Amino acid sequence: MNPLRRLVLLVRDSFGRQGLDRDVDREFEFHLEMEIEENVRRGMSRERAERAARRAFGNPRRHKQATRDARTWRALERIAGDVRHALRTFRRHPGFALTAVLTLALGLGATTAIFSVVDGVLLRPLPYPEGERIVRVGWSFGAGGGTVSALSPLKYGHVAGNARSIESLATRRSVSFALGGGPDALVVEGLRVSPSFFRAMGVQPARGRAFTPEETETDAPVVVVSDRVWRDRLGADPGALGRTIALDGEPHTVIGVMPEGFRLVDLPDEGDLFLPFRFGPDAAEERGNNYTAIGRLAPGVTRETAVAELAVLGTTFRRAYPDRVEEDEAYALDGYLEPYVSDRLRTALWGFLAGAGFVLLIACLNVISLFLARGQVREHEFSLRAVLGAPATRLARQMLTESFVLALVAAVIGSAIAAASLRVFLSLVPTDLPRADAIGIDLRVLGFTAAVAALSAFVAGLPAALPAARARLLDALAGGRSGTQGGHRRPRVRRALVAGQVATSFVLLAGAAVLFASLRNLLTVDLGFRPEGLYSVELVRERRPSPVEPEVGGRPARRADADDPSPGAPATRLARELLPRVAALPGVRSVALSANAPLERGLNVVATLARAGEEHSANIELRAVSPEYFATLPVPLGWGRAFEEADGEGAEPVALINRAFANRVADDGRGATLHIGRFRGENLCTDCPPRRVLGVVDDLREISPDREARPTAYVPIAQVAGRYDFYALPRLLVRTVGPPPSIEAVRAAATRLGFVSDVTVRPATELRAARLAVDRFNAALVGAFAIVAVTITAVGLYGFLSYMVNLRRREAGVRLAMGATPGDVVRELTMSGIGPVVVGVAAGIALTVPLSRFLESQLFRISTIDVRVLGAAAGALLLVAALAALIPARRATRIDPAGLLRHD
Amino acid sequence: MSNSIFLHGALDLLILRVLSEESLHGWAISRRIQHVSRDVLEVNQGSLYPALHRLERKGWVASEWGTSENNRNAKFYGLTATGRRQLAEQTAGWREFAGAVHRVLQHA
Repeated sequence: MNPLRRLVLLVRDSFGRQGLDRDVDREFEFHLEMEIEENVRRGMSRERAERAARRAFGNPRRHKQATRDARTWRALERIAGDVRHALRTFRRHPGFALTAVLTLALGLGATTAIFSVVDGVLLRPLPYPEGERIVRVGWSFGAGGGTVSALSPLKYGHVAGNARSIESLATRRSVSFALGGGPDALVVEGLRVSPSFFRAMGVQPARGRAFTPEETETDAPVVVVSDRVWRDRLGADPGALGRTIALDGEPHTVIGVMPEGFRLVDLPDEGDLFLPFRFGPDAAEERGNNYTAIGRLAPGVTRETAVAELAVLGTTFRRAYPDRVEEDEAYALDGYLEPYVSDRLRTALWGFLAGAGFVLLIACLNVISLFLARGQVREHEFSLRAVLGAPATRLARQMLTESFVLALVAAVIGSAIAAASLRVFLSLVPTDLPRADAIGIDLRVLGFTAAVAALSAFVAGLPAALPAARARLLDALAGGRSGTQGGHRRPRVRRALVAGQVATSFVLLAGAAVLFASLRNLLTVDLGFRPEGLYSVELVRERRPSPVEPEVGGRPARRADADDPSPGAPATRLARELLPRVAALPGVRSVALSANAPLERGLNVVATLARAGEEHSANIELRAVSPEYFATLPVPLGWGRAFEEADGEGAEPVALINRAFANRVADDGRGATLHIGRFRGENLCTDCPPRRVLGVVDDLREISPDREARPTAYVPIAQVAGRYDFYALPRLLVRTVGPPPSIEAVRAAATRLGFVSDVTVRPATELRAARLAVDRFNAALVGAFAIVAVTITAVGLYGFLSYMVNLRRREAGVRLAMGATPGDVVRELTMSGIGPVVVGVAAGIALTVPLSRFLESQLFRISTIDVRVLGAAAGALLLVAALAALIPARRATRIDPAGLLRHD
Repeated sequence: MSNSIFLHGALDLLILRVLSEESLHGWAISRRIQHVSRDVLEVNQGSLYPALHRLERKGWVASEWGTSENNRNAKFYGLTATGRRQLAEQTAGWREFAGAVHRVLQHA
């Protein structure tokens, strides 16, 4: 018999005894029958034969027990007995069982849901063979300069040619193509990759092959397609290899198909086509670190070794190119997904898990309290069982079994809660969670839940099990009915539990309060312009796939498209044609064009501000805008003039700068010249003209409400259209009086221009909300935790006070009989319940102070230890406590003193 | 009957040995041991059945319901591969033990 089957039989026989017993009965019966037959053969009468056989056989019940013992696992059978007993107890006390299970289920559900996210985003290994060996090489700009997870072509070649600890270094660049032709042409996202890319990822095409270095060198028109493209577009044809497909009208030979399910976890939408990549002939002159460098740690090489080798290589690179890099710059090494998981996200996720853990802790404290309360009631049962000979450990085991059964049921319900709430949770998460689609409740997560549930069961059951183990016979029996003497020792424990719950709730409540306060600050901070009444109109450019499916072998003729604008055209055309049409719409006060709407990132460039012998170089934000921009936001000018129609193409190149930038030079930048693409005396942009600074505008929080203004330069959009890497189509910024501009009217005006396929109108307030999505989410989640925590705490407090009132019924009755008013009694009882709450709040404040620094990075313009926040949290808890206390306290006043005394 | 204290330690071994020839039901096992030992070893049912179930739990014997020689439903026990190995090992062990006891009784 294999071990698994043996275990199954053992468990079955231990729990389900009926089947086994029947088997043994039949076996014994047969034995007796044989014995009787033999006796008959020896000449006995049937009756005597039976008697003799039974005598010889002995006591069948004892034999049966002995057989059963041999068969079953004693410990398991005892556990089965305990479980049955626990279930009977729960049926007798459904209120207790339900409260305990639901509180634990809430705690376990929250913990499970958050853990599944933490696991999916931070812990789970990459879905590639030995994924932990995949690394990225980047560049660190030294003190304060930050790190990019990419390299310049020169550095890339340096690492690829020299690093021995990193193999298969590969780069990639996003591309998109119109696949096929005619009406079912489709825009497909793909990547140009180095030939070593597939080795770096550890995944080769499932059919066909990857590119050869020769194909890369010659820019051969070959393509490796995803399994999805192979199925959807090539009909899953095994003979598709060697076939030609049209990409933007150019024929490409399919040489490979990637395995089903292969995706780039960091670029989930871009893995449908893979084409060869090579650096252009002038690549060595490119200074920007713009090329992702993905490689694989050589077998047996640790990350530390690779970091050490890169440090050495960094030194050689600095020596070889002293004019290009600063002394403290160096290579940097990252894990494959690390650049996608910001420190803020990491902190937030662990913080959420801690928050869920706090909820679970409160739930456990509640269950401890419930067990203790019931232990009170069951003292009599326990002492009786102890007198009847149940060993003390057996009673303790009984308590632990009960808490394990509760935790098991709670874990099942909690997992269901987690699975249900995870969908909601993920739909609310701001979109930048890497690998969000891989998050789910799977065996790994359930294993975690089981472990946490077991731990909770132990924590929740132990305090009740320990006194049960001591089985205070004398106390209980001497105390008569309900063991009141034993009871007097417990309120201290229960009071401590209530205080613990209050303290933990306080931490969550204070955390939620401070996050909401921070969110409110972000929503009310002065952006420098009014987002209300401002709308950003986004024009979606029509993509025209090639209309002709090429013949195999023949060059396709690309249809000359009269409407297809040249790269520089859209902005100017829009400015000329669309602006007046939108401006004429009812309710529109002014319209401007801008490459990026406020509250969207601008273009990040280096620039130098030069003025009479002084130069200041900086990384700045570049925004291309039409003349109406400053009146539309509106932004006040410090000095100088705004752009005018005359500052167009061919006119003198001009620029405006903001205060944050102007402050870097003397005299507010008057008479200064702006050199875009120039950094510390080096011109990185050969065809960027110097621009005369026309004036200074006020600082705006143009990137995000939580970011101070960066040094910013504005240039006339008409002068730079097509020059910099702006979005293909600029935004229309519309300032209205009253309702937003009708989308239909704008759409009609725009589509008449011929190259716009769709229009979206987004209020600037919505753009602001999108920027604050993370903050809103943080506050909502911690707020939800706090509400659950306070609810559970209120239940615990209510239970504690009901119990206190029961304990003091006699006292209350006597006092009422002696003439105390019901009000006096209520006040006194309520106050006795408020005591532990006050202690809990004090402990909560003490806890919040050290814990709060974990929140620091998530907050805007509010201290984590804000008196108003702490006060609000304390007030809320005291209010809930008072309400929870009032109900049982009022019940005490309805005691009939005479009845009570008679009863005694 | 006074042999039962010796039998106790050896019962498992005897059962394994008897079953090494053929599969048998409980009654036949007890009869076979009694018969071969010339009525010296009489197996009590209170030890036989727990022993059989213990051996089955360990995976040394396997059981199966079948039809007995007198056409009745009976549970037959047979030796598993593990059981066969155990029999060889324990027989050697027993021989060593019995020899040692014998030597002590003779020479001590």
